Amino acid sequence: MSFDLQTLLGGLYLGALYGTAAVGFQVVLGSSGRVHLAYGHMWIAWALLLSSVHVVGSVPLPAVLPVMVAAGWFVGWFLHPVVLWRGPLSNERATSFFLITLGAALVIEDAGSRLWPLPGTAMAWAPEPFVLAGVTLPRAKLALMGAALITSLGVHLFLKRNRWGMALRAWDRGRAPVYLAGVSPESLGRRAAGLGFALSALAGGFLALSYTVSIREGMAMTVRALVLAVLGGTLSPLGVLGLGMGMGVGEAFVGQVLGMRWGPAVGYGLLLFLLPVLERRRT
Amino acid sequence: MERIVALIAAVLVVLLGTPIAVSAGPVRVGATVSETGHFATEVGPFRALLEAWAETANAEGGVLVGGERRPLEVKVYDDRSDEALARRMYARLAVVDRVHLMIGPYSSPLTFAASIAAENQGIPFLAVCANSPRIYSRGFKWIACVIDEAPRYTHRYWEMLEAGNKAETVFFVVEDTLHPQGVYEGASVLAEKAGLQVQGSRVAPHDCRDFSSVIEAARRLDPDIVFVSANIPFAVQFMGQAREMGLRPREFHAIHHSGIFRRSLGKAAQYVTGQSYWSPGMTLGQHDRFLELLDRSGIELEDYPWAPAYMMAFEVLEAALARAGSTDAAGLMAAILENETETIGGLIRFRSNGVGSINTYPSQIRGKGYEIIWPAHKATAPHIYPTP
Repeated sequence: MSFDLQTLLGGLYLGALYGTAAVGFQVVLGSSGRVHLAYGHMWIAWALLLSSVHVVGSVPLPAVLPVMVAAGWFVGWFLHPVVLWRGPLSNERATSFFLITLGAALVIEDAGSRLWPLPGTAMAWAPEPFVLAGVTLPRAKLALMGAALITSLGVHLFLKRNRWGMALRAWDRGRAPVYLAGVSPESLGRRAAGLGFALSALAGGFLALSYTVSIREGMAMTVRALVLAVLGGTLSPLGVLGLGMGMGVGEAFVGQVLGMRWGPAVGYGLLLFLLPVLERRRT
Repeated sequence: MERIVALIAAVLVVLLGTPIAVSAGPVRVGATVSETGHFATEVGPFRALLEAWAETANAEGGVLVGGERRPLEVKVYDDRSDEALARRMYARLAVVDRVHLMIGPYSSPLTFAASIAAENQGIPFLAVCANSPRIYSRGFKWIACVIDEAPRYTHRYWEMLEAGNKAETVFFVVEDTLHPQGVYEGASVLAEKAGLQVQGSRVAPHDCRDFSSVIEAARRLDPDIVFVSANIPFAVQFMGQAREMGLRPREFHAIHHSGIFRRSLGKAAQYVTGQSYWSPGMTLGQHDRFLELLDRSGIELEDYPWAPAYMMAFEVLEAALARAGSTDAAGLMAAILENETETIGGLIRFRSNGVGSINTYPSQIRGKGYEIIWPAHKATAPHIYPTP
């Protein structure tokens, strides 16, 4: 069985979407230092919301997507500052964060399965693909992959050039560097949560525009985002996106060679084998 | 004093000597419906269908049990498309709700799990849309199924292709769950018997999202038919990507191609063939009552093409109750298995393992509707092949 370009492209499209969501997950992880267990559910809920509003409500996409991203920002801004506050990680705080986000995941899944009992998609919007040298190139997915790259580059520049972004990167070393950057940790936590959840809304929109989604996939998506965010290192959007695309390609080729049912195991395999290697390199 | 004693004695004699008319109580039927989760695309609103069945029966004074009419009660839970939950809900139906009869959940995996509760409690269990042979090869005594086993599920489609002599090759895309696997196993044999060459097959998990390698393999082989043996979410995912990547066989056949499939795919769903149990032109069994049930429950037939199979289950259970003459479990089970019943989908009879004889008809999506395309004497429109 040969490795073909079409399979490679399929993996890249899907991996770019995983990567976009994982960038948001990493921002939340980087600002809170904790794993947000409801992140994948929110990602999927945004996708289902877009498919409902656009397909059922016939609201045009250019109107839906920006509003959804803004709503994601506000969800992060208003709901998360208390739990995202990076204080000393006592056992109680870690446990309560774990329980709050796990509870949120269960609530979203339960409410979501009532709101959206059926899987959703908005992929009927996609225009006809074009063929180049025998390879089919879907315009919609190419556009979304481009948007994913631009988004990750934007977050990368924000972290490198912007005062708030630099403070966020410095937060790992304690509060002092944050104050030195002239930034209030509380405001920084709110902004980070806003950015992280705005990215989850954007990635949810991308997912609905190109694939079918069900609310029951939430936890699997959280695990995927976690794998990419952990392997991507400390607040590295481009690294996370690259890994996401690598994971997508890995799933596609493993599926082609070993059978489709083995594809999803790639993420766990990456975590198992790459994490010790990366840890050694970082230390 | 003697007069009082005599009066009391007389009253007692009258009371004890008079046969007291005791109502035999309602007939209780239990079921679960996948109102949420993976299978909600197939049967989400069917609680309303079951309730409409009870309403129409009770409007007539109840269901006939022997010669007596008894009220019909249906108890329905949401199984969330979850096997473990379905099994627990059927155990609850048996132990807490004490139902006399059970109507199975949607799908083979859920039925496989749920029927264990019925078997343990000795309650007649009538499966509806669950035709994996694995369910009926366990030696269970308390199970029967309305529809034929999965391997024969598409036999009329292959008969049609053989008669038309149009297609020569087929490629299978299969969801890795019980029913689609069972349909595929039978269909691949039937395809070869019909003279088609099976060029290949690919099995993928139910939540597969990227089909690039499968589509590329199919495109290289250029089959006449791409046969998608899958539930709706998988089929929509695959078909959307197949269209996007320019896979153009002469025909797509999706075994589940309801209105939800059609609306999700837009124009890519046009001329896709699939399977249907019934269309409004068919006048067998209690077809008028079925239309009334659809009307009462607000269920659109094209969105939920499995509704006729549930109507057939209602017809089988009503006939069994009338014949059995009581709600005794053993008598009811024998009445289900040993008799033939006229249903909206035709005459149903059961084999010794409980499997019924109802099967589907090939249908094709045209515009916003569906046309039965085979057999010729039941077809509502000719088969359009290849896809324009």
